[in-house]
Amino acid sequence: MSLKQKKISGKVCEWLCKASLFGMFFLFASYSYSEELAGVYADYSYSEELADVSVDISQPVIYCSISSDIGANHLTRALKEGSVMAYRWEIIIEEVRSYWLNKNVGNVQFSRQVVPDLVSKQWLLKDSNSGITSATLSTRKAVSFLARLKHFPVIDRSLLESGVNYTIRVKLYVEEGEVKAHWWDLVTKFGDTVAVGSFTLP
Amino acid sequence: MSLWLKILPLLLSMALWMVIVWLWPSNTTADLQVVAWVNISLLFVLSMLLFLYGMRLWLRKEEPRPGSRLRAKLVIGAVGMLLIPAGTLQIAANQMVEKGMNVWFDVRVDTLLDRALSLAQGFYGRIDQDMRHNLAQYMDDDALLSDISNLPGSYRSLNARMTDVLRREGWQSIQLYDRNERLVAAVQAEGLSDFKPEAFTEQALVTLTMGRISSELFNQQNEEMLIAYAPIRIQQHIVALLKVKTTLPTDLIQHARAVESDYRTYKELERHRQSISDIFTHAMLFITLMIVMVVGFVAVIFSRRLTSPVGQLAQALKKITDGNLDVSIPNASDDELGDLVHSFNRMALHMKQNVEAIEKAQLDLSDALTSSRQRQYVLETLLANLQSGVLLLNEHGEIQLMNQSLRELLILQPSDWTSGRNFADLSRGKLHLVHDFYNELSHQKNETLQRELEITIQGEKRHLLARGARLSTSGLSGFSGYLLLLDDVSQLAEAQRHRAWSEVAQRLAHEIKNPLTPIKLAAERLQRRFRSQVDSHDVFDSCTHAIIAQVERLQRLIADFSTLARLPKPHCKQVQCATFVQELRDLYSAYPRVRVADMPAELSCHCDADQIRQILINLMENALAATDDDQKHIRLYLSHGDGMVRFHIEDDGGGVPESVREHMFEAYYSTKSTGSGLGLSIAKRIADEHDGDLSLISSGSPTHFCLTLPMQAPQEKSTEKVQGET
Repeated sequence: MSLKQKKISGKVCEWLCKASLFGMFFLFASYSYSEELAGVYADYSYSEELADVSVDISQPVIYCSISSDIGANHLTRALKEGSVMAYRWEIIIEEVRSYWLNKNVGNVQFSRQVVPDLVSKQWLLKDSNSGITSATLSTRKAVSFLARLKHFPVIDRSLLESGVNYTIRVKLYVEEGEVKAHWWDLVTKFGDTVAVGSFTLP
Repeated sequence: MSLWLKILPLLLSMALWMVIVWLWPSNTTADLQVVAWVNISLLFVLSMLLFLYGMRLWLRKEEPRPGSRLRAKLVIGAVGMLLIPAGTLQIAANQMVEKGMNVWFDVRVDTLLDRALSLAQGFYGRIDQDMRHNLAQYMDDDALLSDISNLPGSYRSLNARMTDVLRREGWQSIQLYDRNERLVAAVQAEGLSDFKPEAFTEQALVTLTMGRISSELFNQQNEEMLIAYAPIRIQQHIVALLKVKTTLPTDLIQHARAVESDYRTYKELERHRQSISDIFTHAMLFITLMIVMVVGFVAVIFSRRLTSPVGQLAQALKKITDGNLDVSIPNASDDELGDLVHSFNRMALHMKQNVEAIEKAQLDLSDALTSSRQRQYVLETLLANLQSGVLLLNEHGEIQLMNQSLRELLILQPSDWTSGRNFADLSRGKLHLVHDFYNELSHQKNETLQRELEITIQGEKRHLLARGARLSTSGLSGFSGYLLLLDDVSQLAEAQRHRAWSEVAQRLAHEIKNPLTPIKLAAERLQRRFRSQVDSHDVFDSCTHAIIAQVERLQRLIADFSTLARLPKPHCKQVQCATFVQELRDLYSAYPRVRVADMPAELSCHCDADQIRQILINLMENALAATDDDQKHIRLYLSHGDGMVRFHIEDDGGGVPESVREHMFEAYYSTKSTGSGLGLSIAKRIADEHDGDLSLISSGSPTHFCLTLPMQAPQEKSTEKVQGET
């Protein structure tokens, strides 16, 4: 290999290293920034403020509930205008650690979809978790089906320890229209943190 | 590099960061974020590249590589020329899209779609309402209820009645189920050959539970069917469920679904109006960025190819500036830059050849200069050691060169006689003879001139041999002027004169001495034989005595002449000075005015004792002659130093007149009537031949003569000197 070729290959390697570093930095920064934006602007998009999560720890299975509808206004309008709406929920249970990142204990994902039929003025409700499909003529019922969690089972209590602080974070991925999974969703969709709560087992 | 070019990349990077913040996609347009993120990525990469480039420029201390500034300007110019129309186009396109949006999402379109959807809903609602209304009538039909209550006995009647209703209402099928979801009766327009009982839907269960008529849509094989459920009550108890199915008109329902689809699409678009505008902006921005990057890349490559010869030229020039002339730029293109490169290569080659020639000439010149310096050194050494005075004048008579011998010869003032001074101005007065010689040389036709000059310098006459030569401009030096050589030939002249006198004296002495003895003998014979015969003895005696005395004086005179002419070589040896002193003390002991001082016994001098004794006696005789009174004293004492012994003879006589002083050591000069004038001359000559000196220190009060003699022989003296230095 001549000296010139060595110089060129050295330059290429240098630029590749720089590009890799910048790419990693860019991804990390984007992710962090989007997480930050998701927390800050979640209210702007789908709710007025972070909703409260009520956690039921009295039973063998930990249940959580969100009392208010998330993004009800936007959802109501979209459903009335005939758009297919889907809410993909992600409930994350983390163990709180003081001097390090929180430890992920459990992660539950499920989705719900409402398919409007403007001609017959009814809404088809699809629950991916249970597989049940139903129809309703009530817009309010359709909105609540999508945007509210009622006594949803999250994690088995045996997986948690007594006296340890846990946080429960609810992230919401809103999809309008037909649900389509793309490979780039991993890096382009980060969801909105819509509710945060904490609990400690006795 | 100017400050503007240095901070421009950093400013652009900051501007791109601001654009990134401005264009950061919102989460409401999740489906449309891909292009936005791609744009953000591109902008980020561009901003980081610009930032790194700017920082490198800012931190770089050394001079940028040749051609880089021109390359940067070309790239900036190309991208700038692209950005202006691209930006303008993007702004115009955004405006057009915005205006198009306003047209597309006009309220009239909105109203039209609302009405169309209302029509579709009304069509469906009408069918549904009619079906519900008819079902409500049949629910209360007593004959039907009677047949249902009397089953299975009334099955035929029920079937006929249901067939009649089916035909009358135009429904597709009528099915009757009991509360246990068992099919009780069924009629179908197409017959029951392909009839299949269906399980209860949730809507059917709701109807059974709630006891109200309900309906639902059902899609089957590109057909939409409206299914209605009606509870059959007998005595307030729901005993059966009547399921009626009718196929909706295909054309109408397709139109209704098309209206629904359009309405949904329109509303989605209207809801995402801002997102559509954003995605258009991002798409345009993506295209612009891609074009900018492609153009920038092409501009970089193009500018590299364009400025590469410029950079090579600059590097080659730098090498030439550093002294490396072995420079050649390869790979010249066939354009003007290629011609420039070819011209540069030719120039570098010529310059290299010229420099080599100059170096060779310089080497030759250096050798010549060295040789010239050597010659100059030899010449200066020669001139410095030359006894002759050398004076070099240019054609204007200005002094160019003169040696030390000339200064000493003419006793010149060094401050006046400097290079560049005019010789004519300096040589007036006592040196006018030299000036006349120069004038004669400069005005004559011959190239050379030789004259003997006698000039008086500080009261001393000097006999000079002047030789001159004209230096013409035909020589290689290009110098024209005059070269004067002055030699002091006073001693030579003196020697010649002395030699001539010696010869004359010898001849005279020889010619005169021979007859003097017979004359004297004859006079004495006359005195002895004829004295008694003459009458006047006194006259006779006086005459004969006069003859004899004059003859004797002539004999002494001739003896002096002989002595002067044939002064013998001194036979020197070491003589104790006390010997001379003691002899003189004894000799002149009869003269009380003579005082001889004592001296160290070991003091000696290297001399011929007889000749020195003659000098001392001569000096003592002169002193005695000058002091005829015992009140006036004569002192003889010695001193020594610098390897010389000095005999001092002082007398308090009348002294030596100034007019006599100049000539007193010349031969045949005497103030005495009976003197030959050779005494001091001989004494001076003896002293000179002993490498000593006889001088008059003081011409009066007292008259002081000093005889200087070497203490040792010259060879011994030099040997001792060498030993002392060693």
